Amino acid sequence: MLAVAGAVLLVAALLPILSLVAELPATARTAIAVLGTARPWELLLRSMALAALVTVASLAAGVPLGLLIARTDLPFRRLLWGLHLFPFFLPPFVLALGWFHVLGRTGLVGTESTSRLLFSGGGAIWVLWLTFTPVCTSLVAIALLGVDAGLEEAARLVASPVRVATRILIPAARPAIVLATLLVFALTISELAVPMFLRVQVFPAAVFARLGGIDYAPGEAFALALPLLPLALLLLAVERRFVGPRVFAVAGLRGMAREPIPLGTWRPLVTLAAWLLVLIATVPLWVLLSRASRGGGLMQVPRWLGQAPSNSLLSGAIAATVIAVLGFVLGHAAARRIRGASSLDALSMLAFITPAPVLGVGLIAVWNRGWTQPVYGTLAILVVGFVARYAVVGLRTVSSVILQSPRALEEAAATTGAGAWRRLARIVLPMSARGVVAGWLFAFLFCVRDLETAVLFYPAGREPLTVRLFTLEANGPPAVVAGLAVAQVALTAAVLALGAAAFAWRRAWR
Amino acid sequence: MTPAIELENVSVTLGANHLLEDVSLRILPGELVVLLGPSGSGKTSLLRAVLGFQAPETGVVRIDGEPVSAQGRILRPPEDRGVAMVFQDLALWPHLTVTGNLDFGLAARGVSRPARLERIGEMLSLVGLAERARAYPGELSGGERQRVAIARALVLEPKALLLDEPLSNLDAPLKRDLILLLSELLVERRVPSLYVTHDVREAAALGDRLAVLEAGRIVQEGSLDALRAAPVTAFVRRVMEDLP
Repeated sequence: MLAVAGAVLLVAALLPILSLVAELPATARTAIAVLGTARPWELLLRSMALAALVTVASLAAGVPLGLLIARTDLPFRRLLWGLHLFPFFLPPFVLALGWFHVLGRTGLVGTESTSRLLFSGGGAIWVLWLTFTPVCTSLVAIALLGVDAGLEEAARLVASPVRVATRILIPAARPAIVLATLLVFALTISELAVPMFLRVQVFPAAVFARLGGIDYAPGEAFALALPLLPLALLLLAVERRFVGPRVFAVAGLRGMAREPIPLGTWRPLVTLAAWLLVLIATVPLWVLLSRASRGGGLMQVPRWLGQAPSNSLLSGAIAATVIAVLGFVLGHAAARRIRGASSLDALSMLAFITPAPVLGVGLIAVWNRGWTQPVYGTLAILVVGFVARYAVVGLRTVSSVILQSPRALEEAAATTGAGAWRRLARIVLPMSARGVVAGWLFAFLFCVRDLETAVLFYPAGREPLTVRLFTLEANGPPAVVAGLAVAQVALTAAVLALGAAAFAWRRAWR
Repeated sequence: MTPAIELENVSVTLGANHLLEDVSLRILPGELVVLLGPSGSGKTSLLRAVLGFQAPETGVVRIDGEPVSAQGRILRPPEDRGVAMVFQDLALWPHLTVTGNLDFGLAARGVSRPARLERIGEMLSLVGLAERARAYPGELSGGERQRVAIARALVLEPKALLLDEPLSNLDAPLKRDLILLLSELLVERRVPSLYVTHDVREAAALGDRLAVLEAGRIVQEGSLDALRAAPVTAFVRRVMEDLP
């Protein structure tokens, strides 16, 4: 079972990365020519600087906000968390488009100078900061909710709340902070659409231009992807050193029931700041809705949508199902430290933090062959790409839930004579069903929001909604483009609402 | 007579720590041996070695004379050893009812449904839980859960039974009741058993023979009277003094 799951992951995620290395001899001359010039390195440095700035800004806002949400008496903190998290599940490009309708020259409060500001490195940092800060907030909050209440209570007997927060809680969340740093850095360096839309030149755009643009030169795309490989390996090394074996295991939000740290006289000011940050991030969504309604964009949306929503939903649902199954088998093996599972866990993390152009180019190298057209020419290639990139989402979600159930429950099953299959099906699966469903949901949301991976290899005429939106932006009517963005927001909101309803129903039913 | 469980020169290490060192122990058919030892003495490691969750680096574990682990290798996986266990935290599956918990192992062993239901009914009557067959573990009292755990192990008619401090979290009256129940069930069924505890009173109430484990080694073995008469370590002397 583990071997089959491992084989699927190896084919989906490792082959593309290895294929890049295998192509080296064939592309060596091109690589030397392309990488021998200053331009790619300049772009790479620019991308890394952008990623570093977004990461620092996201941590600066996300760590305190995570602490406020998890452990203080901030009013309506669950609602605040939900609202804060929502924009992360949208393609960042949708938010950039929304900010364009706010700050662009013809935007809601737009002037020449706000437009100049938006269409700059600063504008890209602003959009990506608002999009990715929830990653830091949520990982820190989840880690803090998992901290043993006894540790905190012992500290509160002898220290002020601020001291407890800075000396006990934040250090306890250090693995989550490192993971958040890596994820935000990796997501930002992979980001293609926001910098392109805001006219900021970055490395992934150079790769994309050689695969889908007027500079079509796949050999050069291979060459350009190469410097990103060592970067991915470096990120993985940091992840294995500081995060790997630690899993943030919390059962729902039970920790929120703990006696919160009082904010005291700071409460009104802190509440205002936290809510302001969260509400600002939702402004572009409301403006998009307004823009789409004004020009009749909403009415025209069905005509422009084509097959895009069903492509998104179908490829996302199939990929999420494969990821959930892989996540169950591999997540269980990782949680129980079965031999080989740690390497597969590392591979899934590598595929996620590897900049999207590397994975995309690798997938093209593996699957764009005559005999693999049934995969490469159909939605199947999207499924393969999504499974490769987002398997870690399912794996880590399931393993964190499995870690919460005592190993003795499985051992008890083994002592009754149940084999591995029966133990997995009858004991592990029912007890980790919540994790499997959550893993499916998260994986589905990641697939549906994906643009940076899919845009490199989507099959002709079968583009997902994100790609449709991205390609129409340049020459489609603004109201219709806004309408399509609203459709993407509505789709995400509907999936989240269904997921929340499913969990609420299950809680009520139990 | 072939021992039901036999450990011969078994050593288990974890990194640089020696969890068990050259341990030899035999449990004969129908015998109940109490393994007594302080926290961290290696009691749980010994059980895990017998169950097959841990392969001993050296030595052999035999069940009914057949080697099941030897020299770092698991020769027979836990599910094929026919050894049942009552876990310290009971490990009742929360998503299965009382019947479901008992049924699980029987179904895994291919027992037909009518036979399973019959055996489960008998066992639940024996432990006084016939009325609670449809309850989930979360709906049971502490004592009831304990009985389910014992019933779940015995319903399989195992070759041997291991009990890992199963009564450690109970109050005195409940503990007395359950010791009585356990004695009756084990004597009646003649299941060879290894009962692990750090409580000498439990040991005195149950055991035919005691083995004392300290720092991963069996330091003394014999009847309660023999141990009381000539304790070989400070720990054995101290625990024997606790007895009335």
